[in-house]
Amino acid sequence: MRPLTRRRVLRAGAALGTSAAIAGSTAACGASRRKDELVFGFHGDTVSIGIYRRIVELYRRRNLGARISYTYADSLGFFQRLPLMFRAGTAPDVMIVAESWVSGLSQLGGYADLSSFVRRDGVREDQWLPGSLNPARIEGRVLCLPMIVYPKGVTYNKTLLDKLGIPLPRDGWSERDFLETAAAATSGSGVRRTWGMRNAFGTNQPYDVATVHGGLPFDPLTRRMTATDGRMVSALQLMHDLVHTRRAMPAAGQTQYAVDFTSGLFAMDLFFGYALSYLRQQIAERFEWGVVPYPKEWIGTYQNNNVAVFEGSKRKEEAWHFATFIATDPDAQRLLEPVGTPALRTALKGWQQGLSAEDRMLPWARMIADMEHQLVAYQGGIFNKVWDVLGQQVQAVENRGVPVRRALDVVQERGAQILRA
Amino acid sequence: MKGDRPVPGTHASSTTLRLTVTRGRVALIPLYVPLCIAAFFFVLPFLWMLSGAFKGPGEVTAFPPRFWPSHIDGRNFSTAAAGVSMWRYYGNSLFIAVVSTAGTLLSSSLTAFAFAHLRSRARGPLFAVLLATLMLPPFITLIPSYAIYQQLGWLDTYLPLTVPSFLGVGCAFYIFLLRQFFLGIPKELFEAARIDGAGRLRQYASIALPLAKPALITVGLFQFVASWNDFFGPLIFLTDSSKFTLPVGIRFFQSLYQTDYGTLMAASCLTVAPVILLFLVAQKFFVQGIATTGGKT
Amino acid sequence: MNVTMYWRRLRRSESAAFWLFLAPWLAGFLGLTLGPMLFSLFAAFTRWNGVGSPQWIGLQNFRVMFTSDLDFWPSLGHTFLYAGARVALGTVLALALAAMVNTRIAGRTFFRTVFFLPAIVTGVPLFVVWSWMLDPSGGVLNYLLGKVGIQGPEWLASSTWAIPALVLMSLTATGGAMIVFLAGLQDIPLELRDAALVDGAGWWQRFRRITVPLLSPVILFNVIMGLIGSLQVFAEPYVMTGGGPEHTTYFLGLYLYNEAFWYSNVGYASALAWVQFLVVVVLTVVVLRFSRRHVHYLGS
Repeated sequence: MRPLTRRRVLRAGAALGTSAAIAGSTAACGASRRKDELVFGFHGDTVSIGIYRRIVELYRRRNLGARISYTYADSLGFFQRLPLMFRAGTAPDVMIVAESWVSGLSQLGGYADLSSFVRRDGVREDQWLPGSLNPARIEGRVLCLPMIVYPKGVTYNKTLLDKLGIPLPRDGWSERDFLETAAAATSGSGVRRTWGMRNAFGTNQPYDVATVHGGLPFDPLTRRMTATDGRMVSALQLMHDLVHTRRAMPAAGQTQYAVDFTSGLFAMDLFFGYALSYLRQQIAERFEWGVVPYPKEWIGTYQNNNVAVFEGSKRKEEAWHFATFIATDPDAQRLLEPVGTPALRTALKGWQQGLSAEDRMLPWARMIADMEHQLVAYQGGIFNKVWDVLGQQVQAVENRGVPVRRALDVVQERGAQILRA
Repeated sequence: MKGDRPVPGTHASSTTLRLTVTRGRVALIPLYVPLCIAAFFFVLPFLWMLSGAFKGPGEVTAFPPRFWPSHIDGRNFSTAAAGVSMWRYYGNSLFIAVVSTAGTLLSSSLTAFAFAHLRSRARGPLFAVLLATLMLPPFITLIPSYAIYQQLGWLDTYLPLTVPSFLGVGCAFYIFLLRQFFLGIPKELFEAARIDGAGRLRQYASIALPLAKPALITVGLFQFVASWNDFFGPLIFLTDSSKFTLPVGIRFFQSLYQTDYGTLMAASCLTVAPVILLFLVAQKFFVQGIATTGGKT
Repeated sequence: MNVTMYWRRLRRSESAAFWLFLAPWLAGFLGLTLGPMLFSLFAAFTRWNGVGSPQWIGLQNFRVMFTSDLDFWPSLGHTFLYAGARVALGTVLALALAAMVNTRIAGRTFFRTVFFLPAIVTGVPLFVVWSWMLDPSGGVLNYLLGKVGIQGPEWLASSTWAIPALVLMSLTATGGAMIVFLAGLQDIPLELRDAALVDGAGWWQRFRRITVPLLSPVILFNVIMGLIGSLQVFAEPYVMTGGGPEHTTYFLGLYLYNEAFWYSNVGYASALAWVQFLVVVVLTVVVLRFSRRHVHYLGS
């Protein structure tokens, strides 16, 4: 039966071929991370990734003989993998982590406590901008070092405000000025409506709502709910006013995906340091815009990017050395300039000089000074669920006009139930 | 039911044509309205993806939304392609898709043949178990299998993405489909082969497989596309960025804080184009394969 | 009986062949499916954050889930609502499209291609484009509705319109079901159709009395596959709404993902996953039971 034999040979060959392919792929893949090297894990868009790689090269040049390799992913994917990698013991020795990831994953025991290193090497907190170590301090431990920080403010559409004859926001303005500007800038109806303020306060993750007046829904240390605190009430009341009374801000549900400040439909928006290049690029020449610091009554959420060491790392000493390099070496900090504001004070001036002419005009000094008092929105395991409950109630208040006190009572009660469990 | 099934591969004759042609095609014209409206909505996302990919940075989020970019800006594509080793991700995706398709075809056809033509007392219960796995939520097995792969040292390799297909994992639907197809092959063909002295393996290889070609092509195409589009598997099991596949690589264009829609759309176009091409070229097989299997339950 | 004869008997034995052919699938099933399933069943009775060691707590996860978890029952309800709407509307649409494409209309291959395409080319990029199109102020959908004079709703931003928005998007993915219906339609014996034509039956009558009953096995198949898929949906709400607004799109799939990966509540998530599995199984059995009376198989 010759056809059979031929077919059999073909199929056997295919089987062999595929098993060879699998074997080949194993060989190719297994050798990616050798065990005797320091592994540096980072994330971000293509620009940041290029920069981190340059930092590694700089480190290699400075420390001949240092064995260091790196791995990277997109930010969201990196974050999603971290808990799994903590569990499997395969996390990178040195990692770049956002401030929310520090508190968020601190309970999993993945971050090494650096306090002993800090004490031993006499690392001084004042070499960084004020407040930089706030995210690192969890339950008396120091879980990371600051790398770059993100100043916060309010961005405004100068072209639109001028067209409507509304005075521009200025440094030192009050919340009342803010509300009046927002209300005055709202005009039109239907699809062509312009809004006074874009709803950037967060809907599913309402960190900026809670902290706008300096409140937090819970105290992470005592595990007690503080959702009915006066500052929380006034914060949510501000949202309620903006949406329902002044009709100057779209409701929480309308999380804009594409239609954001760059569309030109909003007179104001929250400004985040990391959005600078995005704004420049997307707005281009379409309209003029500027940034002011927060109204003087506002506090806000502290955001930055840090470098942490994996608790399960087998080479903590080298990891510490590399981490301090990133966080304290002026040249490394200078490389990070396109990514954000350096945390190291001495690198600040160079960074500002490196900005474009228009970017340099933004009120950095005030915004940076404001960061000292900003609150870290603590996340972590079950606390995320409380933030989720707050988000739902924020949506209820903004979408359906639920009274603020009632909404926060719900958060208080449900949050207490969650934290008790 | 089995007796009514035509031999796989043929379609109904066109007797109907003679009868309806006399009614005239004019009667069918009102059908164009709903068909075109529906077609418009089905195609709209792809048109929008294409339009967004060619827009310059200022235009993507412009309002009111405009379909035609003011000028064709190919910059997004070069950024997308250059930024994150797009071509390497293409290669990785292709490799994984091809290998897992081969594995699926092998294991699914073997298993389906067993369920269709090999008798055993355990066959009924095991088939019920197979159907039950169709209903299994993927998360039930996710974390434990991650632990298993970690023990085996398979993390950060392509093994968790390819080997399971050789073992029929996740192939319940394909096994079901192929079994239906094999059931349609007349028993006499196997009888004749058995009399000629052919063993089970030979019956499977030289009778069942060739006759099942349309169904196999269908299964292969579906598995290829599923593997190409899979983003959760590579996300969880791969950490080395040089091994990433396209769906994971695309996420570089969606940063933690904001989305650069122009490049994201360009990258999406690049990801989606091969599948569309494959589909256009092979749709005859898609349809033919389903026609001879899925319709009969 | 000597060894050679026994061996020859075995080789010819069908049972042996059965197990041999089944070996790969069996290995995969036991090692990569059943094993993990049993482990996650165990985890469902523990409190575990995924990193340390699990802590046995008996039925507490289930007790909390059914009595004090304020998210569970709404999530279940919303999942049912979504799945029901998606399957019902999707099946009807698929059948309608298949019937229309099955005529001798010019360009039927083109339409068939267009309708089938989104079912194949699915994934995260498509969801992102859809959520962009559904944007209340800047999206194409409301823009087009505005041209016709309708004030579009807030779609994914409204608690009443979020689920309809997701269902609407899923309707464009019914291409697979449509192809199956097409195949089924082409299998309908012509004698029946011709007989009806001769009897002077109109197309709706023909459709209702002949086509649909004859297609009932295919309808059943599509309904069951659709139910299984839509009860487990995860990627769409994850990418497009994050579960909102106000948890109206917080379907079971997304819910248990959050519990596992966002709240580090892996034990509870495992319990949820098992409940989801049981829900799917029970619903499938119910549909099958119901179908016994209504599904007609040819030749019976």
